[in-house]
Amino acid sequence: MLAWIEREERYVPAHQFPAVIIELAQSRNTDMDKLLRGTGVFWEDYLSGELILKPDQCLQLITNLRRLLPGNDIPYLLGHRLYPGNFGASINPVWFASHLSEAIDHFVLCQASLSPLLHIRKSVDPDYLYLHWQNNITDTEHFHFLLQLSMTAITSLLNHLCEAEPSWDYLLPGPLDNEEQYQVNFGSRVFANQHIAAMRVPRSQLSTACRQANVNNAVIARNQFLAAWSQQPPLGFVAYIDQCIRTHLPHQLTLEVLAEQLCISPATLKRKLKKHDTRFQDRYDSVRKELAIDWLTRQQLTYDEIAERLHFHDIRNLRRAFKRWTGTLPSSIKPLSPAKTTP
Amino acid sequence: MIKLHKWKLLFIAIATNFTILLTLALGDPKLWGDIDWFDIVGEGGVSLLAAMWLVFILNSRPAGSVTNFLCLGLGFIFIGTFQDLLDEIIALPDESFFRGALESLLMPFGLIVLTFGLYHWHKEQLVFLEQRRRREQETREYRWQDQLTDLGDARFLKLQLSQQIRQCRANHQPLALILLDLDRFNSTNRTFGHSEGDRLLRELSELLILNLRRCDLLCRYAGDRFAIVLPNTPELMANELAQQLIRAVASFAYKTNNGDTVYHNASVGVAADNPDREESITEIATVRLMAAKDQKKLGSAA
Repeated sequence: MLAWIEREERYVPAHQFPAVIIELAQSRNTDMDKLLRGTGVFWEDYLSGELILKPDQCLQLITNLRRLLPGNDIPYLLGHRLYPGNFGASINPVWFASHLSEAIDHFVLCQASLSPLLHIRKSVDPDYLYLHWQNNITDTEHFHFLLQLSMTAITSLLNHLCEAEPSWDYLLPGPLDNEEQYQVNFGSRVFANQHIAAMRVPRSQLSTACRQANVNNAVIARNQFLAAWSQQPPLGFVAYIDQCIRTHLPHQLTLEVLAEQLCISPATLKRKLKKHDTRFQDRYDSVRKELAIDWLTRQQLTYDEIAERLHFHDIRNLRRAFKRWTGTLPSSIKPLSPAKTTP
Repeated sequence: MIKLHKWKLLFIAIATNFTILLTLALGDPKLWGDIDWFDIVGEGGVSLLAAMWLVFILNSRPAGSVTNFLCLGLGFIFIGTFQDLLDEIIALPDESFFRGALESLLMPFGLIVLTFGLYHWHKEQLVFLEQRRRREQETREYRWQDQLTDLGDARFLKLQLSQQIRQCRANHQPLALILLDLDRFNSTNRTFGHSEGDRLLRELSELLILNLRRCDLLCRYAGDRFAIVLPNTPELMANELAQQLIRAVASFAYKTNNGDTVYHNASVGVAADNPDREESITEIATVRLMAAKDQKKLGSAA
């Protein structure tokens, strides 16, 4: 068994994530034949409840949905509907968590089932807890759509569970394409052009109590999830590669070194990367960009240190690469102002 | 839609067939060399376009007298041009009545019937325009229409708002904008399901429309937030109208499919157009709406 999930492995239970897409399309009177076209999914199999889809089929389903329902509110509608859904054992650990911090931890733990196409990574600094989003299995063009969907889903779920709504900040990579949707679904603390895809919540709010808190149920649900999903690798191919690069980054990294680490030949690695719509250089750049922004905004390292840690000869090379990754210079990246505390 | 009109199409097809037979009976096919291909392309194109118009119109209209006139008019035009096309392939004797006469009879007749149909279409449109006035005022953009509520979406709002602001400023009239948002709409969705939430939004948009003046415009901003453009309205009056809307929403007893009754409260943000302020009118209204929501949250927490 591989340590990661590839795009044509059967991995996503059809009654979980794909179900919400099918349900929404149905509620909008979409022709089911058109929605399922090219996915290789048959309606009877879907209703059997035993169908497991390939990530590829999920992506085709999303392509079809976006063509049939082009409205810009679709990802948000999907997000609001996604959880608890029919996720059973994998949503229960989140559902029964006793406070926000535990709910987030359990969500990250169960993400292989809860968020099959996007990978969510948690990190903390003295003031905030961050959740970072990235592509999980392939470097898909639907990232933006899935990001809106996933952020809405997790906000909707956690706001519902918490007794007092946490004050989330949303840090988004590019400009906002339809502001109104963000305002209504995410509130006013949405920050565009941050070059990362993340949500953050002040650490002081992590102890917010949850409505459905039940310690025993949470423990049982967690064990049930671990038992049910222990046979599955937790990460998709792209997320796995990124994680390897991230852990290995203190040393120089090349495609050959990475292949050796993964115990496959460089040619195989290259082929696999291509199959998942990405290249070694893209992965390497994407991880370095993320770290550079992290270090600039949250740890405030000097350019010298950043250049050295990312294996650039000097600051000039770092600047040039940074410009290529983000379209802007590192000097224009500023830490975000902390949330205003409500009186 | 086109299935509704199968008899009309059949009639036109039979009439076309009849013309072909008649022309063949009276004339002889031309020799290959005698055919003027330039004319064929020209007249064939006209005939094809007439047929396309016919299909588009039939496919977008319910049955009724206006449709019958449009169909009849276009049908005559199509047969007329088609006969003209046949004329290029089949040589008719010069003295024949069909040489040119059919076309010069059918075309004007078809055009007159079509004009008559268009006039009634216009009358019909005026009736619908009045019904849709508070949804679209003087602009229609089908691409910018919300699929769920049949209102204009945020892009439509932006367009209308900039037009109306320009107009009101030119006439030295005030203009106001109300943003209205349901409280706890998400929990309704969670309790009763999203299809109930969707239906609630549809019915709510009807309710809001009933409470507006003829000159007001209702748009769906996003999600459960609606925007109302009030031309020639000072802020005080806009506040009063907003309060009326809040009262209307509060007494709206929505019935779910199971027969449960659900009540909702709404929050509003009202802003007046002010050329001196840097923020747009939408931004001001949004800030006021959020403040009203926070106020409510604090009130319920205390």
